[in-house]
Amino acid sequence: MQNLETIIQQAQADIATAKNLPDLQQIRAKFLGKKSVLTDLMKTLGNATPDERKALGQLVNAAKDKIMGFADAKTLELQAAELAEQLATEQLDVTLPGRHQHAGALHPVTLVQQRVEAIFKSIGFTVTDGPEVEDQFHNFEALNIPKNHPARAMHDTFYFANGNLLRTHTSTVQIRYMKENKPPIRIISPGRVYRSDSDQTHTPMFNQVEGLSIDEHATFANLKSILQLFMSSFFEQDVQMRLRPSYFPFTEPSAEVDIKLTDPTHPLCGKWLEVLGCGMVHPNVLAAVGIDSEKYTGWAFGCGMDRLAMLRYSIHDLRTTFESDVRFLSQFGV
Amino acid sequence: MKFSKNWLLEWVDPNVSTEQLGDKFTSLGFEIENVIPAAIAFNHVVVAEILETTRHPDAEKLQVCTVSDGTETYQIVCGAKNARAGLKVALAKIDAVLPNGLKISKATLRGIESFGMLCSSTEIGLTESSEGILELPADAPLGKSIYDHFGLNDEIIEVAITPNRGDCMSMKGLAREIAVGYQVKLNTRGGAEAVPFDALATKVPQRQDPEQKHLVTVKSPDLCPRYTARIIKNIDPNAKTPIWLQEKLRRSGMHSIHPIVDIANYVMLEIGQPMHAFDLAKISGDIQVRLAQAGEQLELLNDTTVKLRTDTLVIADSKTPLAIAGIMGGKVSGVTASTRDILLESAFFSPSYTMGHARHYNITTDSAQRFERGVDPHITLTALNRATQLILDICGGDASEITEVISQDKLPQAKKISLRRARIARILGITIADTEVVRILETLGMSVASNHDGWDVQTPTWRFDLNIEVDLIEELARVYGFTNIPAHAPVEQLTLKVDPEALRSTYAIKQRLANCGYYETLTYSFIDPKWQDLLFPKQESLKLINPLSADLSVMRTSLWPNLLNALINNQNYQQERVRLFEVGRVFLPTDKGLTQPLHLGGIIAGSALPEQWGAQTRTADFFDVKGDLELLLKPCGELQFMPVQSPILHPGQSAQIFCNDLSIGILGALHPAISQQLKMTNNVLLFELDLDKIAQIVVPQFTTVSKFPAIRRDLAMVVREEITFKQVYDIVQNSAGQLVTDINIFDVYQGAGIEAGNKSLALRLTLQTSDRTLVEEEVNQVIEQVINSLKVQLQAKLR
Repeated sequence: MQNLETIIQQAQADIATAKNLPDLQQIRAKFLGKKSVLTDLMKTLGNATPDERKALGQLVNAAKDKIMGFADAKTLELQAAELAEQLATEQLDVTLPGRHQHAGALHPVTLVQQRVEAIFKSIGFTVTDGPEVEDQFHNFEALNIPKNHPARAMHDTFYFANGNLLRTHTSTVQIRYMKENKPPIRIISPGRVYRSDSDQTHTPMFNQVEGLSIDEHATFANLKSILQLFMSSFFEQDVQMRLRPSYFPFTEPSAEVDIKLTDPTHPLCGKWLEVLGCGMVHPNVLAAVGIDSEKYTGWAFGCGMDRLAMLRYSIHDLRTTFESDVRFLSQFGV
Repeated sequence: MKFSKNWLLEWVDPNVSTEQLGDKFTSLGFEIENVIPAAIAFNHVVVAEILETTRHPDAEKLQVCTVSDGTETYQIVCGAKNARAGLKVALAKIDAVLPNGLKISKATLRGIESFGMLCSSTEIGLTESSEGILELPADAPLGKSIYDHFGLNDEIIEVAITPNRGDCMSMKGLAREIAVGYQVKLNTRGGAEAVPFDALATKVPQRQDPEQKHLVTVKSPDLCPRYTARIIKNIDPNAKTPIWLQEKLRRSGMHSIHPIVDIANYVMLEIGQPMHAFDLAKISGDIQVRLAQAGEQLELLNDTTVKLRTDTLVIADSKTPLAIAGIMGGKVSGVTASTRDILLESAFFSPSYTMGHARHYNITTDSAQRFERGVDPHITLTALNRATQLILDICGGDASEITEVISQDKLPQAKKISLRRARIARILGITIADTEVVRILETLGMSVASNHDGWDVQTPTWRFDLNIEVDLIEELARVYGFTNIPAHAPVEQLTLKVDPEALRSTYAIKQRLANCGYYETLTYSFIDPKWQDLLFPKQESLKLINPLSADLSVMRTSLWPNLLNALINNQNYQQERVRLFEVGRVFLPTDKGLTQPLHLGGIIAGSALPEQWGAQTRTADFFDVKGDLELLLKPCGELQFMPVQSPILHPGQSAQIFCNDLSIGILGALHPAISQQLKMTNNVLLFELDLDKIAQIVVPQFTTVSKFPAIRRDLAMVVREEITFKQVYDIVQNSAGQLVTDINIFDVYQGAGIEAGNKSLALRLTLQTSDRTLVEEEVNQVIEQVINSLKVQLQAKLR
């Protein structure tokens, strides 16, 4: 069967020359297809004796298997080459930037507010809000600041023609909440407040957060404890705190609170920084909202959130926080 | 309040550093605002005497003086007119460096050598201006350093006095606090004065001449329970305020004006009693302390003329008001350089009267500040006598007897407050020992008697802020030391306060917008009325009556003015691509009153995406904002965007937004006319939503996912171009029935192949049901229905 050997050799040689899968397919058809030499050879078997037919058939089939083996091997080889070629052409520069909308950002005061709310919610406080255009009762009288009281001069108030005003502090919300709710009361109230003042550390509008706790055993010592917790949680470091006696008509005793940051990486580390005012709620305030000051006591504080934002994010000029400059705003992406 | 440290030390000397003194003030509730040296240090300036003067041979205005400092004599050329033999002067010797930086060296003036300079008070930093050289008293010790002679090694301390502590607006008051703080004795003589104040009344020489006594009538004893006055005649018009007194005034932040006025101010600073001196020659008839009458006017010392309110108390003569009681004197009756006789007033005006009056007349005076906070009614006479003595010493003159009108029952009475031991612990959370309680209260000037559960306390007459029990507890805490009160964590019953899941937090809303590339901003709630007029000319707005400036005078009715303004500012900083939002209240006057809803407003301008290699640059348009809002509002429910007409927005590119059929806001492109007017360089898109209405969201409910295959069919329908997608969508939705689970529009086409005035909409319908695989016939039937409905209702054609 010299002929068969020749065919196999020929097929092997042809398969080796195949450059790609279609080439290989043609070669495969030439040797193994319906019109191939081997198929023709099989057709001639009809004339042979059964024994010859059997022997020859085995030989032809063996030749077919051999050729198929060559072709399959070549297929794998060509497939691998094609994949390698594809991978080579699909190579990306992975250092190019991704396709995207740019990242937005929240305002630093929002970041502070979010954090303060989280701290106080975690110890059972409720967040409340109130109107910004207020009447004199809620902003002054109910807070023990009668008309003509010198303390009104501490608040450079914006007024409207009907005697209403822009609230000068979030303490107004204390009054609104205490009128509607019975003790125990634990609220914080963040929001915008207004005073007629403008320089590097004052803007005519700023953001405050008020805290209020009223129950049957609230003490000044409790207030100190909560403020300590608030400050160290907010700044995430040991914070030294100093309470100084001060005066607010709506609290007695009243205190201003200074803090000292201890993290040496903070630019203001080691300096006393004034951050909030606080005190025990004045009996006149409780009386104004119908709470028995013999049975209940309470503490309150008011804290500038812009001030906290400036300290937390190292902002030097308060005014920049209200200027809508995207070069400023874009730095607070989260 | 500013004061000289050395002056305080005359009253009380705890023997501590300035820093320690400041800390003590702070711990007692008096914040130290500033500490500065009383003078810039200088040396080689000494007390000297002019022995003789001669005219400079070549200069008419110069004199050649022979000056001695007690050890040496110097030749000094001096231009001051008041340089004369026998005068004690401040001699700046060679090498002296004066506070203004001038270095003294040997000089030759018009041929005559000068070995130093005779100084004016300005040149050594004592006054802002001066005439001639400083004249020292005859007993000034020769050769003594001027710096030491005037006690310039001193500090000016500025301390904040809270409005409740009027009693501390004097040296005596501040000293009293320091005495309490350090548990040391207060020097009641007030320093160098030989006579205790309380004994002054008997010491002042008085002429027992009844004609000199002025008749005073007090018509409103409620407002003025105590009025005292005396006449002092024949004061020396050439008298000058001595330097020591000028210096005390200067270090208290006051100017020297006239010896009489200076003395009145000095006594006020010293013990806290405001006083006033009238020029007797300008008073006709008797003094009346009465309410102003309708129509009365008064020209004040500050040169303004005020119309007097009829509830204003005035000091008047028989014709006209002379002063607003306790607030400011009148110009006409004031003391001047030519005044020879005065009427000196010391009175107690009630705080409730004084409060608010100075503010009403828009004047702030030291006197008003003290009276409205409360002046001790028991120092009225002491002050009058103290001032009289100083006037007699400095200006000479003859003092009359005192006229006093007093209504004892109208004077503030000592208050009796009971203080319960248990209440101290209840408020402060600590126990203070009984002995400590008594000690603290007594050193503060209270009288204390113990009772069954605490103490009966009587407050001192100078403390107007102590009215109820908690005021005493505050005093205890303050002196005990806030820092000595420990921090005790509160012990509470656990309560749970959780927000409903269907209430979306403002942060969640803000964060979603930030994720869409928006920066949050915060702007003032008041705006420039020009913005309001430009954008909302018909919308009524709330106006401030006392704005900080005109451009911050109108309460905003929309967040858009500030967002547009922010966009303009950013464009000026070459920031072309801007996406901003703000959450804030707007202020809307309505028939039922003012509403103050929280709004969420946004603005975008510039390209839809930041410039990048991987995406084509395209200007942001209506659908970019709409897409952002659809993402934001999806959890709220079913949304509809309906065309709307707004004068601010592009008439064809604006929509009102409905959620579950409730209007929640508006979006659109800025009207091209306004855009042009504002010189916008880009297409500007705006939105504004009512925050409360988008906070409510739907808590998701799961529906079973179908196991059977979905079938998608695409339809291209040609309709007239004015037909909206919503019209098509609604018809498809209604005609398709239950099997259609999704209708998606994937192309809108106008142009070649489509008849003018028409457009082609490519819709993809998804059909699926949860109980079986759909068969071809059902699907075809649905699609037929849809096509037919569109043909019938919109004259649509299948493309």
